[in-house]
Amino acid sequence: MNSAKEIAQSLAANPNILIMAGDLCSTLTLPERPLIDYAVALSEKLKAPIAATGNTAIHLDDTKVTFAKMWAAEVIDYIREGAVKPLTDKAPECVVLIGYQPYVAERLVAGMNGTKSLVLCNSHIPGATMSYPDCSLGEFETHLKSLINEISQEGGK
Amino acid sequence: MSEALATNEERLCEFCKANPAAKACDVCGIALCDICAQEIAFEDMSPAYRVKGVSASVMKAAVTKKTVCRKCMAEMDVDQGKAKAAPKEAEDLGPALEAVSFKDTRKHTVRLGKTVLDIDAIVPDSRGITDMIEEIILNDWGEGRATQFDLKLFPFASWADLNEWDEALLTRHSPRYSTPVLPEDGKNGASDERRARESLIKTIKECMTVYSTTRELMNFAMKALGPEKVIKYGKAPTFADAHPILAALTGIYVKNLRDLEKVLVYGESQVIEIAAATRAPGETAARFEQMNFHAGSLIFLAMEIAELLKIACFGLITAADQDPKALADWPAATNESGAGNVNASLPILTFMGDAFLPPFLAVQEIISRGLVGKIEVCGIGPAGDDILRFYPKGRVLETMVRAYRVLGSGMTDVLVIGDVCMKSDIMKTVAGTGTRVIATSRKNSLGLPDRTRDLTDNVVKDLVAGTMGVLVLDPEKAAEIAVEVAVKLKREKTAPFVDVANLASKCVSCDMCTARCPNSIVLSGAMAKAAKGDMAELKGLEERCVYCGRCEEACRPGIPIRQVFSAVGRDALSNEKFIMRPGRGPVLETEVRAQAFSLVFGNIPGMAALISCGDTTSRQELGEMAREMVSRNCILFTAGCGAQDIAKNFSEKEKEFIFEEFGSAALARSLVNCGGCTSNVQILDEFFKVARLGGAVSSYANYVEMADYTYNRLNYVVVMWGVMPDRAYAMATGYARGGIPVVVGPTSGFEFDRYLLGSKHDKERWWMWDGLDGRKRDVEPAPRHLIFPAETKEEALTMAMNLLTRPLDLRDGRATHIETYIDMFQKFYKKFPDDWQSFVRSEHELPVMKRMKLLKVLREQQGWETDGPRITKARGTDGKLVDIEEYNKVYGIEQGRYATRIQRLITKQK
Repeated sequence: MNSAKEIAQSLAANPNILIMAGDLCSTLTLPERPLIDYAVALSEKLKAPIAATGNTAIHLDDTKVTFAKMWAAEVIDYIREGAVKPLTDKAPECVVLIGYQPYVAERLVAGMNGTKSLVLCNSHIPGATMSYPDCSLGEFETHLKSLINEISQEGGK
Repeated sequence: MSEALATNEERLCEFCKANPAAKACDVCGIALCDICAQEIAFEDMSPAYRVKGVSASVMKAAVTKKTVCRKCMAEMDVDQGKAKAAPKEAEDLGPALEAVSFKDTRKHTVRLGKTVLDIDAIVPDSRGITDMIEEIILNDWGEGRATQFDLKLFPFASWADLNEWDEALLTRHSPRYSTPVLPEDGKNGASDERRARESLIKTIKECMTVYSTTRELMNFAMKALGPEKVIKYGKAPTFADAHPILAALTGIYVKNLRDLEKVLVYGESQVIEIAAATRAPGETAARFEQMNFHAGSLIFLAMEIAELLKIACFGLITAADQDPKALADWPAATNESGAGNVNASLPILTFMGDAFLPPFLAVQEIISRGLVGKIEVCGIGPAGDDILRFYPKGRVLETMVRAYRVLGSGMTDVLVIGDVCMKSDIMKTVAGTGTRVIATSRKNSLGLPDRTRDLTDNVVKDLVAGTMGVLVLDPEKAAEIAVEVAVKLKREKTAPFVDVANLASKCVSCDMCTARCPNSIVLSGAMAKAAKGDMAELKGLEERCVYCGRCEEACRPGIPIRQVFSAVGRDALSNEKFIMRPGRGPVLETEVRAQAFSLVFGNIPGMAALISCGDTTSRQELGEMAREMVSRNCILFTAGCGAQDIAKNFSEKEKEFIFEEFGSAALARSLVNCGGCTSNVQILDEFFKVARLGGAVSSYANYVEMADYTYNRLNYVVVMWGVMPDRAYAMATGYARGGIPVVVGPTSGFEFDRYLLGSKHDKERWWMWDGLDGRKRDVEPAPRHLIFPAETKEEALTMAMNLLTRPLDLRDGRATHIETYIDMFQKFYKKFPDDWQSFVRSEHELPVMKRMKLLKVLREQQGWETDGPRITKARGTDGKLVDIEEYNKVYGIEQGRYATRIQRLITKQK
């Protein structure tokens, strides 16, 4: 398993990051906080825009993050082709996926044809560049908090 | 006989100009060498052709020989079989060989009005089918249309015959694969060829299942009724609208079982061919996709055959026998379905899966024995939908995906199961319940002992005494046994006690169940409470469970989670009551003609189909989606398991179930249930009928033109919500091939692993041929996608509204599509979509009541220029701001103008 520090360092090395926030961000509440809070925190720390898929966009209106309501399949298609309009003008170097069922995330990553990916869920994703091992939701939340902390320590962006 | 020329070493062969000449051509006289000289023997039995002195015997054919050059040989008008190459006289060549030719050099023409059409220019190979082609042209083509286009028909089409259409689709909607990466794929991931091959295998496997089931039905009908049995959907359909998908692929107008069997043989041969091709090494991804399209069409063909058999041979109710005026409420929405409506004091006989013959025959047994009303006849999945169409007292219980919910409850005395569209461990599910199982299919025998040849009484006795399951492959026998066992069996209709608290206490809160669950149900907290006796949270979660069993596969302590849910959900099941409207079969010409006006002039956003296998995020979700679409005036079709879920939707305001609330004629603001799983073809047929009746496009052997018209002009979308079985995958492909976009979801939609996406930003894809002057025109990205996954019902509905728009929309229709799309997007996402302006060509296409507001949005968000109520400048796809007149000169298809994606369908210039 990649440690939070390793993941944070890897993210810091990529200036062009896109976050894909799936519908679980709008429905799943982890033991301490809703998943959407972690998506927002990641976006703020990484200064990365959010492609809000599912119904996630509704929950981001009151935040200050840069986001657009998009559809997951179209985002993957745009990543393959280059820019992810209206969020980026060129292909992201790393895509962070949060809020997708593991086997959905596995397929989204497979569709990216090799783009670096970090999948944040409670299951290992074999095709992703980085992911957590199988763990409980509580452990997953601990990983998320550690990651956000490490990103902050890396200086964020 | 030729005369050998006098030897003349200086004279060369005038044909090859290389070798010395030795002979001369008997026709044109040129000098020939031995190599260039061809000898023909003319052999004819006709006395008129006998040549005296040549034939050695009156018993032998007269033979004349000629020497000809190759040019004269090719031009010689010889009748087949009468002229053959003369045998070589040299001894070392062995016995003479006779060439056989199957070429048919006769001219085949048909006169249509004043025009004579060459059939051989229209059809790739007309041998054996010229009569059929003549019938098509004379019955279904107007002279004007036949002379307007480069007319091509493809009877008994193979995938290669239709590749001009498939390529047109695939160049616009790229296949995008998401097959999970395997270790052997390497760092570049799986190749497109591997993914396309796997995608094709998924579709063709489902084709095999449906064809096999249809073949069993056909064989039974042939044996019982004979090949002359008349086949039609009812009184109403005419040649024009009889069975479009069947007509489009084969060209046959089916009159009887013999004709229908030809269609089935064609379908089976195509499936075999494509299945064989999946093994071909070195095949390209593009080719596999074309074959995949064809397989998708073929599954609908099998469904069409099955539907025709069920209606014509077995008397399933059909709208085609009804007075069109009665269709608004026909069949009556009065069927009381759901486990809550089942009389548990009666024997309960349940049929499951694609079993058609067993329930049909069982009902005949029940009727003949005077047992109507004395046995409950229920159905799960397709069996349930079909039962209501021949036995109004039947009851639908549950979808195929959620079958466990019913089977695990123990309410069923006898379960009869045929083919199933998805994996289900039936014997394990009913273990301990006392339900007796009769399997009836060679493809789903459940490992049960084959009692087909045993005496009926012995099988009944054993089942009543305690044998839990048998295989009986004879449907008549199976039906008899099922009814008899149901009558005789005395058992408590309950499942064994499940100690939920004890099972819940084993939970270790690893949350692996949540990781595998299609609905991401978080179980660990509910399990912890249940372990202490508080079942409330578990009961609440049960509503979202689709009983797929993936959680059980991942559960580390091995808790039988479905059993737990089934136990806590027993009250919900036993109280579940809803009203079904039985399926009606085909849509009629009268309805199609009435729809056309609404479709074209914007009274409705469009026609939609809502299909499901049952794996939605909740049991209420499909009904909510149906209500949303019908309330916006869509004509909404459904069939199969989806109809059952939709039926559960109840309006607190109207105090009615949804089928009671909305009309059933295929008109605006109606909810049309076509029937069971095979009735899905009625939806595709209905879509194609509009092309025929509204656009005068003949369907017979004319798939390409039908699909081109449908795709470019007609406002259709299919939402497949809950697509766990692979059959849904094959059907989505079939719809897409017909030019109808499909939105799939929820989570199971992301397991399709292959989508057909068009990028709205890539303007290179979005063009059409102007059908009159042949110019290439840029058009809006519509329909944007052909197979597209959505995560939530809000995404699905919003994208569906987007996908209803077409480049050939007239002004009023376009205004309705724009309004509906924006409205839906704002309802769910509280903002404007970022692409609605791509459908706008003038201010007249903005809905009147919102025009000024939308003009403001165009100005402020899209950078267009307006002057009062008028658009003066629009921003093109290249981002440049141009005068609106200029914009319309280069972008979009002029209102009312014909356009096409197929170059040969550009009107011929005189």
